[in-house]
Amino acid sequence: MSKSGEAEIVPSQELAAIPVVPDARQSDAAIREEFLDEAQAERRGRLVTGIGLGVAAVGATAGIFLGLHHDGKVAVQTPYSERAQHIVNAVDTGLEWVGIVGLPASLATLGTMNLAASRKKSTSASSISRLSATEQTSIKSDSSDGKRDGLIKKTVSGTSAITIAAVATAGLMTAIGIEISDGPDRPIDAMLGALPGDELAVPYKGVMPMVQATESNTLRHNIEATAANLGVTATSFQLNLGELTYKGQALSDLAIATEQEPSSPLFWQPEDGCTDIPVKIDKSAGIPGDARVYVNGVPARVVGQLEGTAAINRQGVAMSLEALDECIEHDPNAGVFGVALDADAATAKKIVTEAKQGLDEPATVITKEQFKHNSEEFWTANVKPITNVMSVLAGVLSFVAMGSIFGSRLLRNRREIATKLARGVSENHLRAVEITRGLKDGLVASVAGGAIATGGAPLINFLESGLRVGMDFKSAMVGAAVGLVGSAGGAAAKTRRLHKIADKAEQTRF
Amino acid sequence: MVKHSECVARLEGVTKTFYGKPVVDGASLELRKGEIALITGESGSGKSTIMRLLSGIEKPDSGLVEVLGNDLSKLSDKKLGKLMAQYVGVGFQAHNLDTNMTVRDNLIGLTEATGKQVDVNRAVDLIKRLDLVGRLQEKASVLSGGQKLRLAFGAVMLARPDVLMLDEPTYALDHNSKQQMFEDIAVACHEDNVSALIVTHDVEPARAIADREYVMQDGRLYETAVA
Repeated sequence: MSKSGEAEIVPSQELAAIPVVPDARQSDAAIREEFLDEAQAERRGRLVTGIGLGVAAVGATAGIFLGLHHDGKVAVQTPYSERAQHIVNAVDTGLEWVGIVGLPASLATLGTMNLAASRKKSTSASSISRLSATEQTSIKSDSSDGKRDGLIKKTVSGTSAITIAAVATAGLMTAIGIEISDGPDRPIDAMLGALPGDELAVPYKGVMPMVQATESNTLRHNIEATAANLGVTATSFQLNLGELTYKGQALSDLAIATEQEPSSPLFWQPEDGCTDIPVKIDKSAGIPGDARVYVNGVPARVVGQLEGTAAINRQGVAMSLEALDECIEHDPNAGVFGVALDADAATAKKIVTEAKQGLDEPATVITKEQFKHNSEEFWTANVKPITNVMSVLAGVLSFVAMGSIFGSRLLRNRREIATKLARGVSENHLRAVEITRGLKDGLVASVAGGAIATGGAPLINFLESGLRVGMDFKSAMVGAAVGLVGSAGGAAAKTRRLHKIADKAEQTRF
Repeated sequence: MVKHSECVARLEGVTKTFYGKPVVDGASLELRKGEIALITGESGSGKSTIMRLLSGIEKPDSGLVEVLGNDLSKLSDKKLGKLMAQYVGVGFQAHNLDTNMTVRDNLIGLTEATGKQVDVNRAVDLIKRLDLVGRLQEKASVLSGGQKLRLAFGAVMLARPDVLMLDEPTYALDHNSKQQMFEDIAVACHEDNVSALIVTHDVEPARAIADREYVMQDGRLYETAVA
């Protein structure tokens, strides 16, 4: 090779000698033909699309017209599966454990990574920490001074509002599920607390406030008499699910009626008439003392307040058993829901067995705990599958949303990622960066979503009387699980084939 | 001039076609230890493909592609990645930087990500030499075009490559900046005895630092001596 003088050609071939092949060039006519062919195909496609959309518009108009005048719905009746219900009802517990394990594990992972990154020799951890702290490129305009992002901006940047919403939804749904399952225990506890003893004489074992149950007055009096002979206190009680009206506002109520002593403010006798029956109402209804209300349309006066007896759109009301029979049920022989017995289980059974002799009427003895358990099972079976499905849907939403956010983030940064791959940075390393980013986003979403759910719970209580939804440990853990699984899972799923998204051969060709 | 003997990168009869059209047609090339070689040619002549073949991004249809004694066609993706990470520095025309990150993060990011320790003294030297003093905490997005190219070059050089492959390192720079950039490249390469293959269409300023020049025309590669 010459190091001086003009450049020389090596090898001897002349650069200029390379021929231009005329055949390789299309003639003007051929180009024109190809161009026009393309235009014709384009026009045909537009014509077909236009006609199709026109037909669709006519069809949609006809459909809307028909829909406005019909209330039919598309519904497929499927057989009930108790097994499926049990599985769905266990979802919140499963998610709770994911949160219990995932939350500290995520924090520990990020903490360990940062500790490792703080050591000079751990270049891999330091790199993951650095690259996951900020997105490679930004879709937002940069600040004019180009200063780096502050801690808060770095922390929340990239965290999806959808994931935060999913965490809040899952947390709230779990909290609502818990309140709807456990909330009815409040009036039951209040009612049972007022009844002496632990045993209840009832028509059948599955009784609870939401089902009809009646013991005849004959059986009731037999039980009371048999109990009295054995020196056992028997207290009859009646329940009524009805409507409470105050100043035109109607609330559902659960009225609990027991016999009252003359000294009680709830005492009522038939000569008092059904024009002003004394009642106590849960204070969450916001009805002041001495106010005039209507119970199932019957005028009543508030003589006191109850506490903690409201649940799920039902206000607790207490009244005299006689008043309920005469004025609400309009049947002095209506019977009672059950009789509380202040005796041990064996004595209670003996009393009921003796009392029902000669009567063609079912009667059994259950504990107060069994009564509560019946109610919990009822609400759990009726409501929890729905709230749990909502939690799962929130999780799926979080997963899909974060997956698509990570997908678009990867697409946006695919050239930068491809450049790193081409420079020898391993795919696993870049995957770890993205999953760490997802973990961080999931943690931020868990905290933010949990805070939103905590703030949102009172709003739900405000909209639904008697409800006491609140963020508890379980709800918070379910929310965290949804945030973490959705975010880190979404990132892991999308980076599974990182080399395909950020194909180095394709993405480094500029 | 530095004496060159050991061959660090080699093409031998390499052919590459895209969609049936030959982009590289029987190309042969040699890059020796400590040497700076240019690949010049018109836009679309296939010169970037040569660099992409040598950095393992593209696989040849036929012929030999060898870097530091390794036949790239015989390396697994993992081993190719390790070779690139440990010994080869690649600079592309664009997207070399994470523009949302700071200058400092960009400078040391590649070195860390390839598992190498950051040499602080070397980083300080590069920051001074590439005129990035006082800009470390700024986002890369606010740097000028020339500063971005210098930062990208600094990030590659901090990783201490044995072989450097740069695709249009002076893209979109004015004449003086181009000269300065090539001088910076030459100084850095000579100081560390780095072999460099530079794809450029800025022939004049590049020739001033080159030991060897290859001209690409219609997929064929010709070697031409430089002054």
